[in-house]
Amino acid sequence: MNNVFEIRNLVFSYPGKPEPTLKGLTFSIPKGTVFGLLGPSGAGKSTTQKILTKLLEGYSGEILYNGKDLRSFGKPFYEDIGVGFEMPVHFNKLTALENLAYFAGLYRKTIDYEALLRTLGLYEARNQAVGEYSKGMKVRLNFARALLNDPDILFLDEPTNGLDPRNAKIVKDLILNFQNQGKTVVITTHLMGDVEQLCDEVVFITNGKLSEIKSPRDWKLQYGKKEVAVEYLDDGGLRREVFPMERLADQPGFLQALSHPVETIHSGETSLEDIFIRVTGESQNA
Amino acid sequence: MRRFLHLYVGELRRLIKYKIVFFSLLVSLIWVAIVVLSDKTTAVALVPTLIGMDAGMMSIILLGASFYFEKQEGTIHSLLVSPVPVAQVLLAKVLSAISAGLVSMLMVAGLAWIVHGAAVSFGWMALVVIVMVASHTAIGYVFILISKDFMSMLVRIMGVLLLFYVPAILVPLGIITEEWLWVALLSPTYAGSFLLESLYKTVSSGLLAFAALYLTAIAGVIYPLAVYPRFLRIAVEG
Repeated sequence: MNNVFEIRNLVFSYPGKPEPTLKGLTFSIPKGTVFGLLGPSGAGKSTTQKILTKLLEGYSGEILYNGKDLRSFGKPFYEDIGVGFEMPVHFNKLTALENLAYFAGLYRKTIDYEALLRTLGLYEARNQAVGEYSKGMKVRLNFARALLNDPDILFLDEPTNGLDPRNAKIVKDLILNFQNQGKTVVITTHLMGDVEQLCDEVVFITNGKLSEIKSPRDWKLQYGKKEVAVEYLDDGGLRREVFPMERLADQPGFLQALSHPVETIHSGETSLEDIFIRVTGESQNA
Repeated sequence: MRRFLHLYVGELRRLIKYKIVFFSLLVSLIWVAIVVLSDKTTAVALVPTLIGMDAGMMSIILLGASFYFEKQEGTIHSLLVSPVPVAQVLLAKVLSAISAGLVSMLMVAGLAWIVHGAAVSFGWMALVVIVMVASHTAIGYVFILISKDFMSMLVRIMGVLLLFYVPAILVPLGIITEEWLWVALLSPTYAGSFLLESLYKTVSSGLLAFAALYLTAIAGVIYPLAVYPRFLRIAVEG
């Protein structure tokens, strides 16, 4: 698989800070994946994203974008990427259409943004000043802004934060649709549900250092308990038993439990929230 | 070039939407009223001062208001991740401030010409306004970019501009004499007014050249060395 970005030993320090914010990050972002860059606030996620989007320079190490040094790319690099900020980035006194038309004029190619506004449920409010929009509407408009230039790579910061489940699903479907076109998404979010639904690969960043890169499933397999908990009714009371996952069908106790009216069955799979806390906690304590 | 024109037109539209142009025109209308209601001698004496105030003080205030709206709304961030060079973004802003200055100039000097017959070379006057806006916005930007909010910027700018206006009081009072006039010209605001006055009366060509070069140098040095790097830093930090 081709890598869109290859990052080797990336070190970055903000002026005046004694310790580097990024301490030798090495990882790759494969083309056509949704790549999750996760970690606690202040861990270095935004700094990494700002470097990859060429907003920050003065780093050491090597970053290759499609096999070439990122430093060698000028402003046309921004024709290739779309950036969705967490905070609203629109002129409040201009309408949604005026905003998108303004930013669209800065690119060589643009998408049909009126159609996108329809998909995002903003078309009816397209001629309304953005200042009158709700938080959720502004978040959706931010997403439209990121897709405006039909980019190959999308950098998204908390893309569904502040959205109701229905609109969050629309945005997530659009992200997956974007990926289905063979394009790449780099996403930072604190919403682990989104990570699970969207990301192919996830890396945790803590104190400027990286964890391993794994799929959400592999993270869960690593940190989950290989066991099954069964709750069933026995003699009018609720009983709970835990069985090892291995050779489950050969365990008489498990089969016995299933012969009773079963209330719940849960595997020992852990949540990504727990994994986030454990991985970032372990890194902080290391 | 297409993108730069788009930025410039967009900036003008934004200034109109945010009613910044409205307030600029309102101030110009007040100047127009003063000029129209004055007699010819007073009008000719006032025109350079009024145009100078618009090109100097007003252009900084308009640019400051526009910048803080933009900072608050995070739109500079959005421009940074577009294929447009930051220098063009800055240039479009300066050009829109120059445009506002030129409109005001046409209104004030135009009415002085129509009502009082105070003829002037509009081409030269436009050049002076361009140089004056460029130099004053360069100085203004330094204060805009080091101030946390619009009010603290306004206080700083007012302090500096008051200082710049001192020669405009000392020269007519004779405290600064003809041989020390070059010292007065170190005030960019006075240098601008001096250039504007030269369009209505004869002045020393040496001092004229000094004032013109001085204002051009201010814009030419401050924009690339002080404004651009700081503007870029603030835009990245948000």
